[in-house]
Amino acid sequence: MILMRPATLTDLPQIEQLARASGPMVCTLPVSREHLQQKISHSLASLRADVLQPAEESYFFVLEESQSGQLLGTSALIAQAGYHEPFYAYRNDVRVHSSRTLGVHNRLHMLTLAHDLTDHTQLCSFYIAPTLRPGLWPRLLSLGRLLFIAQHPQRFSPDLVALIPGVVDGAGRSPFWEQVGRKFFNIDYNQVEYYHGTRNKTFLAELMPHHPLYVSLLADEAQAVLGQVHPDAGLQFDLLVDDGFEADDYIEIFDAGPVVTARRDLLQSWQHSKLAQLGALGESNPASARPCLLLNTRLEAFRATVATITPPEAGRLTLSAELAEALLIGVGDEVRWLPLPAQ
Amino acid sequence: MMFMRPVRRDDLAAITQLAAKTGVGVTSLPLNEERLLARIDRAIATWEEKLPLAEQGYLFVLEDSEQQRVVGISAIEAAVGLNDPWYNYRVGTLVHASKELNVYSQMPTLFLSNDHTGYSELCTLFLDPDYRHSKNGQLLSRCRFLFMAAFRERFAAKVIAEMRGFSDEQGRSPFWEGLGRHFFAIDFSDADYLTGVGQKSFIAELMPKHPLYVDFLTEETRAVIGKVHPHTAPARAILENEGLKYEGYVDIFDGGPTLEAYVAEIRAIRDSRVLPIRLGEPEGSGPVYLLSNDRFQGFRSLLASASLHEKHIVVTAQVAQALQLAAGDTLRAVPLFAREQ
Repeated sequence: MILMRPATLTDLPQIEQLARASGPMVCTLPVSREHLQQKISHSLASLRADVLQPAEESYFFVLEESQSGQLLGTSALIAQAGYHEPFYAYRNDVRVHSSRTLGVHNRLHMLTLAHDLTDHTQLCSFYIAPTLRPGLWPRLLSLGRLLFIAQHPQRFSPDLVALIPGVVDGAGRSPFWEQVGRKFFNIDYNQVEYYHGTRNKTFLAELMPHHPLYVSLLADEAQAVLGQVHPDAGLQFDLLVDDGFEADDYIEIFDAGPVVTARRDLLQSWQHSKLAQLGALGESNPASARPCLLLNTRLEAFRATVATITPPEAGRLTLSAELAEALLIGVGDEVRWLPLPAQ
Repeated sequence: MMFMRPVRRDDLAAITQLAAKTGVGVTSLPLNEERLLARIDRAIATWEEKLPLAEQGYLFVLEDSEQQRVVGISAIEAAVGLNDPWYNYRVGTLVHASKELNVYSQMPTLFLSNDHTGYSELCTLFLDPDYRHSKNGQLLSRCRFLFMAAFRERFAAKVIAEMRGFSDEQGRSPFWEGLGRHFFAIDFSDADYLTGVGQKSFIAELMPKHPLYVDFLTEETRAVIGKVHPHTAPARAILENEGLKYEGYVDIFDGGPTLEAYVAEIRAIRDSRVLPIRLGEPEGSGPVYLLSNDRFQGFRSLLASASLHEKHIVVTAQVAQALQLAAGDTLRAVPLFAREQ
């Protein structure tokens, strides 16, 4: 059975392997034991803390094959994207310059460095092993976070953001980085993303261009990748956009990947997930069963999975004993559930 | 004899002919008779002291006294940018550095500026190609300094001269192609023309207002920042010989450099001397002098030999007459060229 749960310190060696497998694309999963350990500890502390409103917490989840104990994916939440340091993105601005004399009406596309998203809750560190990419497991790993937010809303901001990796070629070259960021930093793209994931962010403030960039003056290859998704990140992009995230307002400052944003209460998952009570243990009727995402309502003992079950009737749910055990729930406990599209 | 004098209304035909010969890029001589006449009238009104500072401009012509032809033109604007904003780009530097990452970069940056607001401007310099000899170009350009020396109070503390920027034989400006076109979507020649006929509001409406990182421009565009058109090189040499310098300001359309100086420090102004005339033959092989009669409305200036003494200057009767001066009257004199150090 595939389960989503918070990461623990014993997961560290496997998480390091996943970080390596995910490559530089996922900058918030750096290949650094020290950082990953810190990330796990911080998540545990956040889960244990009594939180009334979002501040410096973060939450780190893994996807586990329960029988073998093998970890097959990670995802995370940062309660406030820019709690300690501002969260930067380029805002897509269109300014209209017009001249009556010339009968000219120019729409100038500009990229303005913005910290607008600083207060948003950030979804990050998404990586799923290639074997699990088909099917509903990516949905568990990604949307499971959104349902965790729905279950514990006071820990998170009403606004959400996620950085989707931008276009990088087979040689690890980012056209946008080469034409823009490199002029200011003069270091390799891999290096800057590593720093981004591991260091104090003041270097961004010191080196980034503060003045808006005129898109028409950028080299063609940079313009071509604005808001474009890395070939391997299409899955996570599609999941979030399908749920209701907006993709056109911001792009990432290093690789121009889309920065997707959403008001959480406008998301499909938020609007369609509900609480139900575990009424009885038993098997589901195949005729009425459909895939559903299931979460318990716990924090440190958070568990989530996808299973094909009969949706609740009158707010009561029947689950198999195996499923209830995996979710660490008993009859009478609450379960949050979301119907998923049939595959 | 070649001499400089203020423009008259009946110079219009000659000036229109000159305007037809300039080609693209000499912004202030548009081939538009109405505009040229208005320019002449403005100069006359300036000399008649009928205009506020914001509108004052002096227009001088070079006359061939034998042919009785006007063959050159040069001008001074008393103070730019007091009605319509005066734009250029300042080429500045932004340093981005991070000790933590051991990274340091200097980014040349173009800042849109109105810094030269209120400065006096040397402009509208053009000499008929057939007359480009015998130091006529020198006279055409430098006589303006003698005028300014005589009437310092009518001008600003600083003076500028915009040098035409680089464009190729097809009239293509790399700076325009790399920058202006993105924002204006019109040809360089059209933008230039509109500026010359005073339709400048489109600049403010369409210009990019934010600083531009030079590194984002193409190499071809970067290469011509601060570069003059080949035809302008001689004019530039004259002004630099007088002490004007490029200090990082360029034209927003063609990237040509603006030269600037404090009026008090311009050689011809600083070193010129006012002396009473004695008629006679100047001594043999002295330098050529730039001479003027120091009059406002009746200004005359020319090049001639002269003998400079401590308390008088010797010039021929012909020279004195051309300057409309008699023995005992004062004239202003300075060696045409700055002496080599």
